[in-house]
Amino acid sequence: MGKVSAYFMAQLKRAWKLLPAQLAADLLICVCAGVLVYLLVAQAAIDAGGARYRIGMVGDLSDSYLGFGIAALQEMDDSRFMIELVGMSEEEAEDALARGDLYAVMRVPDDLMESVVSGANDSLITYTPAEGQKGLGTMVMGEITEIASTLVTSSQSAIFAMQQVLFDQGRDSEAARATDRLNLSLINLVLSRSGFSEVEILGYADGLSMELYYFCSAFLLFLLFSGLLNCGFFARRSAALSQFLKAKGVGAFWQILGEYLAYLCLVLMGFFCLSLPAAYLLEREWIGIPEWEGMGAYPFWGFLRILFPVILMFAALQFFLFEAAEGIVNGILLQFLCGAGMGYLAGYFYPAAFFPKRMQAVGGRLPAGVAARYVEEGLFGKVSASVLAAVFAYLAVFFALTVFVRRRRMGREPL
Amino acid sequence: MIREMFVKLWLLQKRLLKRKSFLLLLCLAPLFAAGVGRLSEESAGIAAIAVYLPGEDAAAEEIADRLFDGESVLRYLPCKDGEEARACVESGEADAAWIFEEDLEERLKELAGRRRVRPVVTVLERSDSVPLILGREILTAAIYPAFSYAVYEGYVREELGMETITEEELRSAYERVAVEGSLFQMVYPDRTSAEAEDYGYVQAPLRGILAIWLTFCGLASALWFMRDEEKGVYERMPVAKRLVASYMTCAVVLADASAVLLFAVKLAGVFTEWKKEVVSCVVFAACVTAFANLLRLLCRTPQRLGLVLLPLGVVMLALCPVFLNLQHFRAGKMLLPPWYYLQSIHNVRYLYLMAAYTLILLLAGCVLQRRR
Repeated sequence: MGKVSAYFMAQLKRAWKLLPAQLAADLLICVCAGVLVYLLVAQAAIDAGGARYRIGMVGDLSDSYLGFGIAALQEMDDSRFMIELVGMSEEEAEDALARGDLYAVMRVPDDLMESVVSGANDSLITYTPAEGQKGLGTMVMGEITEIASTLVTSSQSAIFAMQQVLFDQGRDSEAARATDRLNLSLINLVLSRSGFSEVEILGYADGLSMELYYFCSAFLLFLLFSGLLNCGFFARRSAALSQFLKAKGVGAFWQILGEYLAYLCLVLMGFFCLSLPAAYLLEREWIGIPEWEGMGAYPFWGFLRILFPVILMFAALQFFLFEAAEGIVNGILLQFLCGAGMGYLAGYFYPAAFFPKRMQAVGGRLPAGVAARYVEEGLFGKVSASVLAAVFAYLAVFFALTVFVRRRRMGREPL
Repeated sequence: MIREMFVKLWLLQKRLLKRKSFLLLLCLAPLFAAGVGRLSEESAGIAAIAVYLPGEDAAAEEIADRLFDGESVLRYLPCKDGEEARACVESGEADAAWIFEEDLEERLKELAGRRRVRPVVTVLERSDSVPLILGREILTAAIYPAFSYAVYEGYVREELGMETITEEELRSAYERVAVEGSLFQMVYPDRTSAEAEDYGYVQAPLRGILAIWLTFCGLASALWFMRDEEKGVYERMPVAKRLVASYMTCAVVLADASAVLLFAVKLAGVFTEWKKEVVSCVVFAACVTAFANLLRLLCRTPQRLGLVLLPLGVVMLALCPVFLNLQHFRAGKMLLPPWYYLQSIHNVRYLYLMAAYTLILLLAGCVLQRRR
């Protein structure tokens, strides 16, 4: 036992030596996170102050009908609170898009109005989003343009059908006046379309608010990736040393236990360092979480206690991944891929509810998913036995696997 | 000279491929991409909506066709009655319920006759949120075609004084001139249509995740080189020549990783065109090689480089358009190779910018190496 504790103390010393550099890296992460939070808060403040998504409109907008349509959107439609349409040249639009000043650029073809009036609709308005690739933002934008298309084409159909009936009846002379009147009626109805539904907000809150969800996700993600931060701990290890220790009576299990506990201390220190600025921000109420409003940093300390079993599990997972990968380089790559993959499937980046059911089920069973469920239940003060058992089962499995890998390696490598 | 270089590259490659765990690691990326690609085939949505539509109602059928047929960012759960829809919201199975009135067609006709918009659907929401606000717009767009038809019908009968006109005549005139299709088309800066890409938002971040993974491969290879340097593998080589050796180490690792990236992107279903993908990937790999080596020279020790990994990962995840597209901090974005790569797939301008950035990194690397 004396040898085991001596080995643990030696590992602790190694961890201690790594601590200053790790604290510097923590500080760097805090600065990065701080800048990101500042940018997001600044963006939110700008949005709250009435700024809208700017969309550059390129093309000839001088047509009276088109001008009326844009003016109606900007002055009367509900979308005026969200979207600002700005006329500009192609070059200006491309520059503004590249600078990040525009959300998208819409190009209006010269013959758009002729095409709409004739019903051919063969001249399409093309739009280029600021995102360089397809994603959630572009799909939402696609949905919005589809809505606009439906409103326009349904109105066109109604007007053309009315004209057709008049032509069929030989009342061609009435068509122009009737078209104007029906057109105006339809525009009025489109502008008041939100009245089709009566909205009742039930106010159920058995899930986390988006703010708390992402706050938890950020901490879980940090813990999941903390293996990268502490990769120095796994450098310069050799099977020869393990075999030597075994010869001295410190077997694979005790070696792993000693190293794991020292590594855990390192992870906890890093986590503690990250928690301090977060607590400060919460205390000053610079981070707004609806569930913790007016309570300062008090609920945050409870949250840290909840996280403790997750820290144990993630530390064991990282330990296993570094042990399983041969060498530090493979270990780093494995840490990143497992962290990013599990984090994505478990809903640390997009909420898990956005995913298909089967994907949610797979993500929920992974260590990262179990951790997320445990934290969510912990925040509501009702951790189920099954989730707690799953956390500790994963901890035991990773620990056992690490011992197994170490034993195999010790047996394989000649002294 | 070139032959000698190829021999060295081949020897490095052999050394790398001898490591079974490295090969296994390379296999993990396509496995992950294929897995997510497969899992994302099921329907998904940013909000689940329980929908009750009355049966045997023409307007309801039209709305059902619009909502349930076709792609949407919302996921619909058809319900037998209003109570079931409400229960779905109460149990948390759905984020909102849309409960339509029983005599929908009659109600729409009545409102159309009066040219008024009044509620025809009760929307129950757990809480107000951006996806549900978008959902309400989708809902009104689904109702509007049936409503505009009713407006046309009422206008012809009442305003134009054709009370005797039959339903068939009205319907036939409408169908003869009905306008269909979209007025909008999304195009990328290279003028390719977004419709050509058949994948959803669940698969979309995979390219970004893989791009960051490739950057980590570059950084890991720089770390590998540093550890070899510490072990004395390059003891006989003059310090000035070591930059080339480190580039070669990186190039070997990234050649394998690039092939895996292309394969994984194909498996994930986010692949575009061979030429575009290969060219972007090659320039990206060169950029990562220069980037990783510059960081190696700046950090000087493997410990320091190791410590940079996580902060760099956080910055890349936040600033590159993987999950979110921040409008600010362009200067920071321009320092990150994955940002150029992700933008370059549909915008050749960023391909040139990435090549220029690679040259700058190479020059900076040479200057730093000389100072050593």
